[in-house]
Amino acid sequence: MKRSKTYPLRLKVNGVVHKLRVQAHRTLLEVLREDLGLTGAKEGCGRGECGSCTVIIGGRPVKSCIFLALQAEGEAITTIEGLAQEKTLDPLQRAFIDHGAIQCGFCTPGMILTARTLLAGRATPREEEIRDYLSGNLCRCTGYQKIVQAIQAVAGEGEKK
Amino acid sequence: MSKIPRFEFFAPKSIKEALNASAKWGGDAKLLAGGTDLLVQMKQGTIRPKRLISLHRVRELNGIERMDSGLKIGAMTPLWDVEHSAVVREQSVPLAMAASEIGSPAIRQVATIGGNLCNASPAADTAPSLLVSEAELSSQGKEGERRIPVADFFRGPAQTSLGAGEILTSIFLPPLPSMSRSLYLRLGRKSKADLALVGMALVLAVDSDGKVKEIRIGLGGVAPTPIRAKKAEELARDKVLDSSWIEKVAQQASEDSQPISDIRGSADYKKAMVAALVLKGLRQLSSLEERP
Repeated sequence: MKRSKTYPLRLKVNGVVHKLRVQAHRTLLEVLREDLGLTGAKEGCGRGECGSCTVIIGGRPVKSCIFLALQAEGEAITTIEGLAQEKTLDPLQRAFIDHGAIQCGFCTPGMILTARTLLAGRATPREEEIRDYLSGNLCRCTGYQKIVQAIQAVAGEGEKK
Repeated sequence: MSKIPRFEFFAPKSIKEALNASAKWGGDAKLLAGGTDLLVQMKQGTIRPKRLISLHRVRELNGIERMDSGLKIGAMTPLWDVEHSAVVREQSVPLAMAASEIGSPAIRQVATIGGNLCNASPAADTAPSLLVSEAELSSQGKEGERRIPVADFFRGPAQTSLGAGEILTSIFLPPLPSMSRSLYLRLGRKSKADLALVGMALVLAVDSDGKVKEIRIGLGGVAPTPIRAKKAEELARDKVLDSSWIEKVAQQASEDSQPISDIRGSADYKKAMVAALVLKGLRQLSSLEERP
């Protein structure tokens, strides 16, 4: 049986270096979930529109379901599993819990990681900026209100109600 | 969503390496920029290349440079960087506005301007802005470097004038006419992730008598390629744009377009929307016109 060609892939994920061999057609999402067991990133739409597959590469949110694993060669990647420091949750994780911004939780890793990149670039975004920046992350459960409030709380604007 | 079909992969470190690979493999290979269009199409099965040449390591293709003759934008520059660049916002408002309309922030931080152009959707958001800027595209191939006026770049849906083994390397944007105002307006369905239904880029310069000195109207999504509404432009030149002339120009722009009916809307609707966007754009740009 002919085996497909594999390519070397060096990835630093949540601070840990992995040396893998992968087939070219495998997406970063597949490799994270299937080869590294990091199932925080999800496959929702499979076409980069729902955001549930979002991870952070070089400070930028990346839709990993439409990103080849090989495109990430040599890069440092942060997944939701890498956000907490030891037992301390990231402020965004804490705020999502405290503000009731999680229902089924499927969109949550992508929401939090995307929000993390927003706040890294812009400490106090306005509500409309938050909503616009998260326009690539869809939630079927919450109606977004509490997600926005959680992000605002971390941004220091406080709860708007 | 199906998996991406199998292919072979190569990531060159320089333009030279990319050209060699492209020349060697010819039509078997497609260039991969950000992948936000190409990989979706490969998942859908509409494109099935045997090989991908990924340009993500070719650093010299990424960057925005101010030059004496205008702006130079590398083909691999992410749309997010184009959108937020101070020099693009200063020198090419329609391009900054167009870039900001594409997909979502996450998509724009991976998707590239070169990819948007080479994917050559008739609705490509960056195209009308480049048309009204009368930009030049630079490509490299076996015969060396070639400059292509953007008006000659698009040949049809998903077809560009790039030859086998040619790689788009940069976009050169001359400054817009002095004393001009410009914008890009987009009409789409609810989700920005969808293609533009109609995209309209407008440059307007008016002289001290209020007469139109220069007008350029670029349209996307309403013809087999992005186009300029030439007859509308001719109609507007030297006129003082009162509301009746603005309506006539918008109507002519609509007649200059040749949209098809598809899942996004009927041809009649799209034609009406061309007029609506041109009307809106002209009103915005002429009402705030400062007399020099």
